[in-house]
Amino acid sequence: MADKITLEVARYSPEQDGEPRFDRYEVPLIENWMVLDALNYIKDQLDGTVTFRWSCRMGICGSCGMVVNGHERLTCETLLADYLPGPIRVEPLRHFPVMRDLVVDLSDFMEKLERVKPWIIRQPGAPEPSREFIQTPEQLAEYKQYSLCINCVLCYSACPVYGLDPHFIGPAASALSLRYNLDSRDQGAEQRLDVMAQHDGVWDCTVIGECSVVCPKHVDPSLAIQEYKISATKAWFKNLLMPGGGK
Amino acid sequence: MPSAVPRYRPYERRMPLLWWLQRWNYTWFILRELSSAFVAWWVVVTLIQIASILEGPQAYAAFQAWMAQPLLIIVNIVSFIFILFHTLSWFRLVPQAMLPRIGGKRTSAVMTGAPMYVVWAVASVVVACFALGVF
Ligand code: FES
Repeated sequence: MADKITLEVARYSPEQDGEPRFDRYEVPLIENWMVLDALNYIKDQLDGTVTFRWSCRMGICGSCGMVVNGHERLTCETLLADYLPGPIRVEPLRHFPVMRDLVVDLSDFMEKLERVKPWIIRQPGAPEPSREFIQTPEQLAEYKQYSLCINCVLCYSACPVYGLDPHFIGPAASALSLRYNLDSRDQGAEQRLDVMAQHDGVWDCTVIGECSVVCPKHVDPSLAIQEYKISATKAWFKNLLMPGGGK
Repeated sequence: MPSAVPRYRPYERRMPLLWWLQRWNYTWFILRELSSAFVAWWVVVTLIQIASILEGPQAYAAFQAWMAQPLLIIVNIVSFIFILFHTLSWFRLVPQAMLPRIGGKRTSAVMTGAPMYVVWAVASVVVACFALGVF
């Protein structure tokens, strides 16, 4: 096995560069090193100015997402050795504005996430239980898959619809929105549907399905969006047949 | 008070023109959308065919002669391939788009997809039997 591998890292400094460029770094190829380990090696040993986000190093915080050789990956769980003989091209996630090197501006996603109210909503005046809510394993199974989302936004980067129309609510926000709708404790489905059923909501999705392919947690946001389309259609018909009533 | 720290603009990227060639899934999607044009063509041909049948044997013979032109045969072969692709791509999509519940449990992708292929196969056999004069 080779003892070194080359990384081509996308660099962009807003103070100086008009366009991003690629810098090449040679790093030791150590067994079990991830792309993130190589980036940290570069930052510590070769070039302290390389900028990227990371935290947990175990696929949980969702902050180390980048595009590695053209595919969205959590770099803390992407083996260097899988890309032999190299070089490995590391770029920031697509579609989001690049702030510096590999760091993108996630404000747009944060705003969308908030819009779908990803928390448990109770109707005003709904009876509060005298103890914690009881949930059966079946009720948990309903939403568990969607609750595994770690907001790494790899799905937004993989979604050409979001790339072409930044107003699209997008995969992760939809999956998290459905996660609360499916929760037996929640009563906020209607409020969320108001956001999701708008034109920039789920209807923008053309079912390309790449979001679900790249999801490192197998959340399947594409399925969530299509389920939302079904609920939106049902709600529309209900409203047509029983305007204002039949809730 | 104006801030002493200058604010730098982030770098905004545009989608490349040929984005749909970057990944197999994107290309598949574009082909699926494109295949709709061939489905529309097939609908038009069928409507013309029905109209000519209603008009009488002479009109139908004219329709058949029109369809026998080499150019139309090529167009129809290409259409057939795309319509086949259209059908298969939507069959492939259904389990990605919904997993209905049966008896409170979600069905698997295979359980959702398989019945469509079965119905398709049966329908094809029935149509083939008609066409070949078995019935
Ligand atoms: S560093 Fe936390 S997910 Fe990679």
